[in-house]
Amino acid sequence: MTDGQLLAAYRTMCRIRAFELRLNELFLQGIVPGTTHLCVGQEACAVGVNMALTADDMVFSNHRGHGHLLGRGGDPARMLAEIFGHPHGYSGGRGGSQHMAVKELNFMGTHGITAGTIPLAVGAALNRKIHRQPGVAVVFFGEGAIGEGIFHESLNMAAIWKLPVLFVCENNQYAMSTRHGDISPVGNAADRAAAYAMTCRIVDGNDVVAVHETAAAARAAAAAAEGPVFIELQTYRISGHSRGDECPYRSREEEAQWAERDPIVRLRQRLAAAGLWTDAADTALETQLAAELAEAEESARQS
Amino acid sequence: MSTTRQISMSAAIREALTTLLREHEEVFLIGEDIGVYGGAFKITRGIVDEFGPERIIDTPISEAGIVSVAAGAALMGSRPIIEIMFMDFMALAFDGIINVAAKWQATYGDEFATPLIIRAPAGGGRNYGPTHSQSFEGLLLNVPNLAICCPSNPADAAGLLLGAYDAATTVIMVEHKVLYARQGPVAEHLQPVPLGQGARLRRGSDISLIAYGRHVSAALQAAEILAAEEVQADVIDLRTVKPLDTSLILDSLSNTGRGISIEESPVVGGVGAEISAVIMASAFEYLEAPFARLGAAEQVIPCSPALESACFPSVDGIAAKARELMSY
Repeated sequence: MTDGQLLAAYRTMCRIRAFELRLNELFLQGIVPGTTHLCVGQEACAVGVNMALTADDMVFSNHRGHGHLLGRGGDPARMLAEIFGHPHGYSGGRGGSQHMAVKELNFMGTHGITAGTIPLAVGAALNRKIHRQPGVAVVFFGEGAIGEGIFHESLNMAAIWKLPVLFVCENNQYAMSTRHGDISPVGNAADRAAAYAMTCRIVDGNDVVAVHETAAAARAAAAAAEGPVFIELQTYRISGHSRGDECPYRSREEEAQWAERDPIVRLRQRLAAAGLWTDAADTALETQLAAELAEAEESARQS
Repeated sequence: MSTTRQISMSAAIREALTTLLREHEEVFLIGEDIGVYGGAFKITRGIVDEFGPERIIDTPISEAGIVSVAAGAALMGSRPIIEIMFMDFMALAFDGIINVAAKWQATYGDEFATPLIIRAPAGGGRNYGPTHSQSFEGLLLNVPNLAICCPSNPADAAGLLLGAYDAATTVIMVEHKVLYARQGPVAEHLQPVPLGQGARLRRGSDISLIAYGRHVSAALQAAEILAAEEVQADVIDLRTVKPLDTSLILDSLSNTGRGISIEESPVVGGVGAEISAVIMASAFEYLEAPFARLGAAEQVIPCSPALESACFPSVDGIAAKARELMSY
């Protein structure tokens, strides 16, 4: 990544973090209806992958999709309006936190059914192949999704038809409360994808540079009609699964260990070491993001 | 009036599929063994020769994947026509039908339409037993934003396919497998049948027989028997069970005051239940007898020919129920 890209990645990751933390506050205040699934700690996945894509690419997301949409260029005001249930929201208030799509961004939908968008990405890629159009399909899902039968049906079809799909598995270690090791006989999510004879990569999902490099190479391979690529991004959900999750299934020690690998902290250190970032710049960014968010919130509330 | 010819329902469906493939490059067929083999019921036989494997797509045995992958393609502008080998197997694909195909546009907006045509051979009468004989139109009636077609003859089977294409929504085509070989008149140039329009096949003022699919011919036969007893039946072919042609149903019932629904799926919570509710809401004052429902028995569909026959409505059963209502 160029210096400019690194700085852009940092700003977007901080924007996602600020959005999620503010949303959590609003939930705790009882202002927001329904539920929400925050991606705090997983920002490098959303940003590293999205920055490797082009406008022609079609992005499919899951229930934990705010970061994916913000990373694709989504408007925080319309996202908040959607979460508030207002008509100006991306889905007219019908969808809420888990159901947003933006056609002009080729962002084809977040979704509340685990693994439900994986076959949609395969179908979008099939459409591209039949009509010889540019662009690859990208789908984000968690490691919990690989327990679903549709995951296997989808990977199989993408592989036999050599479709341009990036399967992006954010392995955040827990499917709600269930530790990955308890529900899979093999260690890595990618081990199960490997049965479908596609290129599989396992990457530190908290290192935005590694995520971006891997996604860019995978995108190039998929676009060159070499078939699908599976990327496992090893990360950690710092936030709970959804509102009201006090995380009794994991230890505070484990959380502390992962906190040291916080993707935003690591990128900030990297930027500072390269002389690209200062504490003053950070303070300024924080102020700017807070102001942006306040404006988005105001706009969303009035919509 | 265009001239007609006698062809089977299989041939009519094949012709409609070919027409859609020729006229619309965004149409493709997808399903299990639909290419060289021509599908389990040979409906797509020969089509791959004209359009090639890129548009006549044979899949792994993955019903859930077939429907949801097709929905993803539809989202990007394709118009997939899916064949589910037996409607029973559609149970494996309900997530794609209910949570994607029936929801994406309704949730995210009109730019996110996922119009699918899902064809499925359905119903009993072939002694295939519990998991190759079901018909899920009753079950699917409960899903908002789905259309469900149940043609009774070759012209409608072809016409509803064209109508489903024009409707550009997700449509389940329930094709009764015993009707595939049955011949009927079809216009030289296929005519689309708009969804939601039933047909009155026989006019009568004594009792309404409301049927779809294979039971339409049973209803017509029962009407002949009743006519010999000076009971004139008004026979309605629903053609689509969702949307229901409620105005035709109400028009019939308000004339006859008596009626029977005859369905392929189980009666509990099914098509007849919905028709009953429509009548209760809007034609209650016309009723001279309780509305009656005939349909599959509340049991698995047995393989034994004798047991299977007893499971479904029959001509004699319809006539008997009509006599009962006439003497109410």
